Amino acid sequence: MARARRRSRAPLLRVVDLRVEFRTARGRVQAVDGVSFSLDRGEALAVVGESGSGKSATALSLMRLLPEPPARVTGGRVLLRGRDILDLTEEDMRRVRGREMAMVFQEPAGALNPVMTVGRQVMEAVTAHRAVTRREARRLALLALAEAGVPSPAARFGHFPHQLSGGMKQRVMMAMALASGPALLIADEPTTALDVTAQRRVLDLLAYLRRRHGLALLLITHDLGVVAQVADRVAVLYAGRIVETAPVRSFFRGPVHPYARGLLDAARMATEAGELKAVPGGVPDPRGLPPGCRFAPRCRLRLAGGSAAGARRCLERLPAPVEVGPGHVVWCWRAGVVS
Amino acid sequence: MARAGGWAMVAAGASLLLFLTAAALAGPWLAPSHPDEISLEESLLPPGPGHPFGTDYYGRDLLSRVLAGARVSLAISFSAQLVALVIGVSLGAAAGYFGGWVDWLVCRLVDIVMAFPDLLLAIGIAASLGPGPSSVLLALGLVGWPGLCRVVRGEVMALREREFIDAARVAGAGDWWVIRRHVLPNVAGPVIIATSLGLGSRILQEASLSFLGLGVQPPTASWGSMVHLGLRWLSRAPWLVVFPGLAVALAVLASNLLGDGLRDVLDPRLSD
Amino acid sequence: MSLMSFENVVKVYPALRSALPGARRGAGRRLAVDDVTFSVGRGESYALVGESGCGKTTLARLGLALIRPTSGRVRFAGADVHRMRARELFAFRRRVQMVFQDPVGALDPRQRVWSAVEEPLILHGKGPPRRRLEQVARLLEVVGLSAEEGRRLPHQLSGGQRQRVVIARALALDPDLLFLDEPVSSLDVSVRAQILNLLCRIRRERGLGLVIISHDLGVVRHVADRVGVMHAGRLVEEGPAGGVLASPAHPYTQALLEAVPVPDPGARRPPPAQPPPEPVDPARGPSRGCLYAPLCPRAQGRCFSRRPPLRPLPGAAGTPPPPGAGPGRLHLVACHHPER
Repeated sequence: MARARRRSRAPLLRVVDLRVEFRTARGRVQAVDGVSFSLDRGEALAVVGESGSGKSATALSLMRLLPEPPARVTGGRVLLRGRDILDLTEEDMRRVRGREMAMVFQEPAGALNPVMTVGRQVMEAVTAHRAVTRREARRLALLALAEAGVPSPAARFGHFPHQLSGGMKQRVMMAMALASGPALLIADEPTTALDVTAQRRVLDLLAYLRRRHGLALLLITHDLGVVAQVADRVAVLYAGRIVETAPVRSFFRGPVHPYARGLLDAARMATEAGELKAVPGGVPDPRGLPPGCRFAPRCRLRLAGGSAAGARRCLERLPAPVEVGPGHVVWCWRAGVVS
Repeated sequence: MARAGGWAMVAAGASLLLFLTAAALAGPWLAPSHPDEISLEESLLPPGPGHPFGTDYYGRDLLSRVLAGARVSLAISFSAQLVALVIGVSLGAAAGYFGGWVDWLVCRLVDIVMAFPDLLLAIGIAASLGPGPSSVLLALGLVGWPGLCRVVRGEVMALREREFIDAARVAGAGDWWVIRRHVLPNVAGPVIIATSLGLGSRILQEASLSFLGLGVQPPTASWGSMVHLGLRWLSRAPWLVVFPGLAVALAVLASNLLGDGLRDVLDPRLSD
Repeated sequence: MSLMSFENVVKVYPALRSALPGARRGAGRRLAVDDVTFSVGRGESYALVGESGCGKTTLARLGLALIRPTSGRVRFAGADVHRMRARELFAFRRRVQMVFQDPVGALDPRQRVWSAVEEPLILHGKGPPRRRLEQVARLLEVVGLSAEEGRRLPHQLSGGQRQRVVIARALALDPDLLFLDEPVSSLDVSVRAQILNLLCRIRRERGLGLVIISHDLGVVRHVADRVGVMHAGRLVEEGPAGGVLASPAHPYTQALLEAVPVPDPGARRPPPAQPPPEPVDPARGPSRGCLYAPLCPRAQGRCFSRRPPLRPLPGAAGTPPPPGAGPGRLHLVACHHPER
């Protein structure tokens, strides 16, 4: 768990035009449709989206943990320190998982083995990548548990998962992720299953780990409150495509994409004439997406104050990226009109 | 992929079963002669043009007898499985839905019935009821319900935890309404699977009982009793055992195919 | 006058036996609800706030007469809900309905939308089939579903649409009181506002009383007139929503409010110098003191030895009660050291 801060210009992780497809009984679904982003050492990027946005499929494909079939990566590159991990053999990939990047999941209960003590599970995570003695493994496991904020870890060592609270299980999973000192932590909705107070502690823990260990963080979430508390940058995902990406302060000062603005209104419970501001329509069916902007069918801007030709363009052609501020990019035909 | 294979199995099983049933029903018209018609000069003829399945010791046409046996064997097996279905579903649903002492009682009853080997228990019940098709039918029904009962009980217990059961009660529904409208329709899938798998066992058990002489009495034909009679001539006229035995095997295979296929098709864990 | 009142309600669940290794045999009867008293007025919106396992869902099930209390009583329009005869209970069912947390689980997967909405009408004998179908059509329109969507099965609908079905079904009998168990927590963020707006509109139009169970303080702030905060089966603070959420007096309420991640990076807290410790579950046993004391930054000697009763916030007596308000308007807190 040494500080891994080498001076280097190259990003730690670069995802280029990632595409993931699901084959279902009712046809193919493009879950991730050309997603690109990069993540520097020690940086925290939040990927924000709702159900069907492709955020979890993105996270899982970075770890090469997508269930294949039905899922399949159909294109793109995932460069970790310049090396495309999509080309690695499964054996090489096992070395990358845990040692270079680790993942924590939404449901800690499902990620822990119910019939094994938490101590042994953390020890297994330690010995997976290091040839150490049992005693040394135990010491490192205790250390990892302590770093994950488990109080008196020696006392919890012999406990089984079901004897622990949800928050505590999440900590154990964190300890397992940290055990091999990864440079990147992918956290898929790490606080969604937790109560508010437990969520707050996990967010504080993530902030601590980033500062203490220089950990880079890829946070998958639907909650803009969580984003504001931990991330440096945001990427908003809608129906498999990024619609807006920005430094966190710039984003919360003023998101530009109408969907991103709808999300922030919802998170702030913004009201208009006594009613909550609402995004019309429902989460889109991936089989019925327009060839143009995926959000166009639900978009107020498409119709408001524009020409019929403009409205048609939104539905028919994919919007090009527009830089509306430093590092703040929006994929919206109306971005110029809005900002 | 599992679903495609499942449908193929369902199709094969169902059409085989349908074919056997149709043959049984149409037997009197299809059969070359009356199944009980004795013609001693044609005793123990091997399969040939006049008698496709050959003849038995009394010169009775074997094809006619297999068809007649199908009527008896399938009728008894189907009815026995129906009895098992009614008992198993009602007791299983009651145990799963009401829990408590009802569940305790039903489970102990299941334990007791399952503690005996199926066939031994069926023999006991059939023997105490006296020989004849109705006692075999009843015996097989009384032996066959525990499996279904367990399936239904488990499914109902899982359903009980679902919120829509509470939602129905909040809407003012009583127990009977909830069971009829919300519980039973949702256990239909597993029940259908278990029923068609159970049918195979019933067919086999019916054959065993009539093999032992507990079913229909001579001269009426059933597959089991035909195998029994044929054993005496096994070396001289193996077709006497082969054809009714094959019929049993086909029927069992058909219902197992149907059941396994339905499981692949209906199992919610495989579908969306 | 109050429509539904909970009076010293206690619910104890028997111990669960667990087959998992390390489980203590027969350990812990669970005290899910511990001496809770509160009431909801006609047309009032009351929110029960708390974290998982605090007993708020058990309270809803008690209020709907789905389970019986171990002691205490729940009254609806004066009558004890758990002593009703079948006929009275049936009438009660018409007047008190529920919107469930998970619209997937709350709908029979084999029942079409219109059939699910019609079911309560059939059960309560509301008119001939033709009239019922007209009523179903009207209800679907109220919640914003098309006739075509009415013919679908639950799995053919989106989460928001399913929750609309559940709401339509709950409204079918034109109830006086609606329990809402986390009505939007399973929905996507962009859809939540629609459903909340729908609920607020229906409440306004029908003068419906609401009991909202939620952990989401944003939702509570928007919808509730009064708030009761629950911790470990007890009500620890209660009062007008504005008062409780703006100036919480109980340290637990304060912790809850502080924990909510604000969607504003300016409000970000500095990273801690130590890993924040996960508190060990305080054993919920026969403690004589305040159940929050083991986690409380303000806890002192008597917090561990005497359980604080729920009583008016000291100093609140001076504020003039709003016109027509009963004791329900008071800000109550169960703490030895409440904060003003």
